[in-house]
Amino acid sequence: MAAQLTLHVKNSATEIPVATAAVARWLAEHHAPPAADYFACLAIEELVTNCVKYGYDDARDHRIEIELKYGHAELTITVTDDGHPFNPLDRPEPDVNLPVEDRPIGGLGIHLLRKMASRIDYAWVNGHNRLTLHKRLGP
Amino acid sequence: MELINTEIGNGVRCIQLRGSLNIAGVGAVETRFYAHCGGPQPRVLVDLSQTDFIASLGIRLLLQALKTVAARGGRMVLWNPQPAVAAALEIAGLSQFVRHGNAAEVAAVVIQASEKTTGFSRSNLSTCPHQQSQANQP
Repeated sequence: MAAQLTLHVKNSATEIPVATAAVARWLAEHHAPPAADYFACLAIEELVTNCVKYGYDDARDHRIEIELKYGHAELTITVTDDGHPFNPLDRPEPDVNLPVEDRPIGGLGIHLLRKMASRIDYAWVNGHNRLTLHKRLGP
Repeated sequence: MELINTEIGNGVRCIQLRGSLNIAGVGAVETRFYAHCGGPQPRVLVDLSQTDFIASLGIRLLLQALKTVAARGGRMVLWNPQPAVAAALEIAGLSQFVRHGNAAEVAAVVIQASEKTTGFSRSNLSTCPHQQSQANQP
């Protein structure tokens, strides 16, 4: 049976290091490999940052849910927020082969996650964005 | 996140970034990092051997610096990244700027473009003080 952790963070950048530290501790307790820790921290960093920067027009506090499941050589991370509807999988992938002088600066966060994840699913559910990332670990 | 800047000779700067290039880490070093990438024809060796994590904000920091250095006619290399960081840099299309090896060899790559006009000699280079043990490795 997969172990499960659920965290709730506010839409504030100061919440990100707190969340990644909690997830790193939890993964270490479950003897997860370094690749799981790196991927989980990257996902939280990128997705919560995007949500904080672009998800809301108002100044109110919002709650972002981060759910992790680890077991059977797979890590699953689901991030749910009540921000503007946004499917990051609809974004075109950046052209990383352009000369450095011509490279746009943005768009790399989702690109990193798409390349590192085994699978990503997006759904708009009851007024919430729900993004689920799957990462196969080991051979 | 910690930044250590060292001049290693022939105008080459070695900037070591210790810790995580995440939102907090980038915020802690970006002003000083960009300052060290300035000046005419900057020659910069960014030591990533002690960087254990990089997110898109960290890649953005390096990409912006690469653009600035290129626009000023200089050269920058990303030196000795750990495997996970190197993998992220490859996904981001920056592997062409990654070099492994000792400080003198990599510094030579940094100034290769101006080697003929400056009479550069490897013997003019010291190693980064914080990298001497690695610099002596084969």
